[in-house]
Amino acid sequence: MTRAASPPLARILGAVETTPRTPAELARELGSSEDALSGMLATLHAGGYVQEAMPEQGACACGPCALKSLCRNADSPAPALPLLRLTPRGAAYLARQART
Amino acid sequence: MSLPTAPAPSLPLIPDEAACVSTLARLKSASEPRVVVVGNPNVGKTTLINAVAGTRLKVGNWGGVTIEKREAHLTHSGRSVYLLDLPGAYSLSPHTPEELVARTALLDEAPDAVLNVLDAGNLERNLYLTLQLMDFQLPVAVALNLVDEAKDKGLTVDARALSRALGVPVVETVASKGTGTADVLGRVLGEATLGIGVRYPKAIEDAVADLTRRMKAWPTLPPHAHRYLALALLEGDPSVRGRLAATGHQPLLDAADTHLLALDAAGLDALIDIAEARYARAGDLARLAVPRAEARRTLSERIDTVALHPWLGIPIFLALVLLVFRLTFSVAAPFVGLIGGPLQETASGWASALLSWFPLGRDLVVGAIIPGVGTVLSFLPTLLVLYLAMSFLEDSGYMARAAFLMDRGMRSVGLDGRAFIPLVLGFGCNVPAVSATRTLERHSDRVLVGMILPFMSCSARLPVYVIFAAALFPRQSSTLVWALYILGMLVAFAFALVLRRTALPAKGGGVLLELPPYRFPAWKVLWKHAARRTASFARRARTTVMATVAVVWVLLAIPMVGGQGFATVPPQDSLFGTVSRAVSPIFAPLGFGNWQATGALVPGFIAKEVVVGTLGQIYLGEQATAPAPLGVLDGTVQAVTATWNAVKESVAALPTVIALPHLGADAGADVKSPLAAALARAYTPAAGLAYLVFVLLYTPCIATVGALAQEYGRRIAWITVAYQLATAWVAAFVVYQIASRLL
Repeated sequence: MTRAASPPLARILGAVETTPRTPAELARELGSSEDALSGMLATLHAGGYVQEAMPEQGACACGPCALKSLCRNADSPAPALPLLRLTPRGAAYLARQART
Repeated sequence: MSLPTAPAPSLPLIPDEAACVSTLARLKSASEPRVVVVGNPNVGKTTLINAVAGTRLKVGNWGGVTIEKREAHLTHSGRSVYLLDLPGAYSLSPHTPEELVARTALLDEAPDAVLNVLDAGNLERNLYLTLQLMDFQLPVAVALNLVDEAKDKGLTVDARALSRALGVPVVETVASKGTGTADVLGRVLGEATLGIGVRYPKAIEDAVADLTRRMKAWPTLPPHAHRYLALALLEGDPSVRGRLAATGHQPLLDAADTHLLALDAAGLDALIDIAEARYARAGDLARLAVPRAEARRTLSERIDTVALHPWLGIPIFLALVLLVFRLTFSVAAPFVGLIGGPLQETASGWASALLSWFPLGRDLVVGAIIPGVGTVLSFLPTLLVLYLAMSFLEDSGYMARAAFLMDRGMRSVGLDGRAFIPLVLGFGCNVPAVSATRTLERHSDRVLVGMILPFMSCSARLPVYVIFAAALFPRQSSTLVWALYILGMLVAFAFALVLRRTALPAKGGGVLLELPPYRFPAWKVLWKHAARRTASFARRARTTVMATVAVVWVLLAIPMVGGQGFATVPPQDSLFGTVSRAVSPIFAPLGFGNWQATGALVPGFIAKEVVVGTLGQIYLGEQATAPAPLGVLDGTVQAVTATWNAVKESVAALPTVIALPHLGADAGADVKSPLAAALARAYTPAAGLAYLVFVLLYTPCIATVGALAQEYGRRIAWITVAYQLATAWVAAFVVYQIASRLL
């Protein structure tokens, strides 16, 4: 099954199958917009198909760092750009999609 | 018309069956039609209601609850109508309190019709809610709002096609302008229909059919919600399950569980299969309603065609950075001269007067602390302006473009695209930048970036560049400093390439970066960022620099020749001078083999700011040992006059910022602080240039070495120290040899 023919949620799960991605990265990869994906991501997150993959937090003293908005590792408990990765439930759904 | 705030939604559990039946009967017997207005957040629901009802609804929260639900009673065609405005919700699943309130109202209020407000510019996301509404078997009408904004985005929505596909009336509106709003209520009350809902996979539809059939036996469950409730049970919606369980509907839950087991056995996951069907249908509907989106470029996209141009992008980036340095020098130079000159003299005069009874203390303060720390502090204006400019580039969205531009070049030398973040952080301070390499996934990437990071010119090195540039290249100061920053980056990339091909082989990966729209940053935020970073530099001057200059003062005071006393020995005969003289031949081939230059480099290992502090201490300390004591009034007058002159010079310099380097000299070129004047006498331009290259490239400060050791081990840290020292020596030698022939 090609990605383009996949159902929309399966396409998202396929995009995070190997590498955790931010919503913006997903939007770019899937040729969509963050707005359009936001509801789907919320559904997948709430259903336990994806989960946040927190980047390794270091002692990076972000403080007033000018690059905070660019940095995946910004020292915030709720980073602006959560990385999303596949969960076992998501993987099971993808595997089923691949079979069908 | 009065607009009372509605009571809180009936989130508590339904108490008993009789109450449920009674509530339903009361609602059904209400004489006025009840219309519920539902939509995603920020689609203009309230504006639409205000336009339709002629009201002025405002957001008002219930006590302790951050959710609003507002109602209006109005008259339409001689008939009283009740409008209920629900909080914005993306779905009825529900993931947020707003969505829970909206869903509960749809379950409990038994409306006669639903007005679903859509954002015409974002149909796909909005239609998910529409399709969920159709699972409630309530008459629905759609207001396609914000069609003007959609057109601005190049989207023309075919409302008729959407209406046909959804099976409900669709009215185009621009609520803010009152366009199309007159029609809305009539269409809702007269034409709203159940619509064409989603067809889920057959196994799920069979389960829904069974559950809805069972629900008919329960008079407590509103008939319009049977299908929705059945789907919610199959989706495992915890709030629906909890509510049904608590109100005596356990057999329904058991039946749903049986179906879920059967679905699972058949390889179906009801939750995602139901959502998948809705999203697929929403996508189909959106594509049907907006068959072709005219690609209209936003302002940001238009700017990016130039800013991210394959050939122009990098030159524009370099030009912008040069502009930043020109601004920094032009605006800050008079203040650097002010702090390093008149204010320092005033402080020395006051200290001399205050400590006249304690000569040794006076010598320490006037000969070490004030020239050492004062020289470092004199660069606070430079850093403040630089940080302001850099914050502007970041907050405006340009820095993300810079990362994008650098990505290709970085990959070509084997660097991971994400290395841009720690590398650029290195321009501020290398220590957090080393920690930031943890964002890189591969160990080899982290080590590679850590090893080249110290070539990024941290802000502590800037004062050295500024003072030497002002002393020896006053008319090309900003261009020289800009070139030093570029040189640091080029050397870093060159070593990345070498290390990748030798010790740390791996392939550089690309990075997908956010490219936020351009916007004009808020001055308050810029000021806050810049002030915090400048204050951090000032704190280091107060601690590390002060401690180091005190130690250097002691070393300068210890005599190494007979017949000299403590603190009266000439500097060159002190312990510091003697050791520096012993080391200085190493630097003779670089053109700066004098003990003063060598001596300043050694404490620079503690912190780079100390280089300029020590230079100030060495060159100015001796002159300042016995300044004339100054009265408070005289000193104040001197300081205020000098400050006013600096302000005038700074303002007068602003127009020169945009002058091209060959057309105009840097403003402030004639402003020379006492230290700059002393350096101009002590160094040739070629030697000064070699000194700057050495300071740029030589061993990182001790805090960075510590961070490297902590992250990658002592071996890597010491290798980094050694290879950077060697690199700095070779580079400075080459620069001196070339420059001494050209300059």
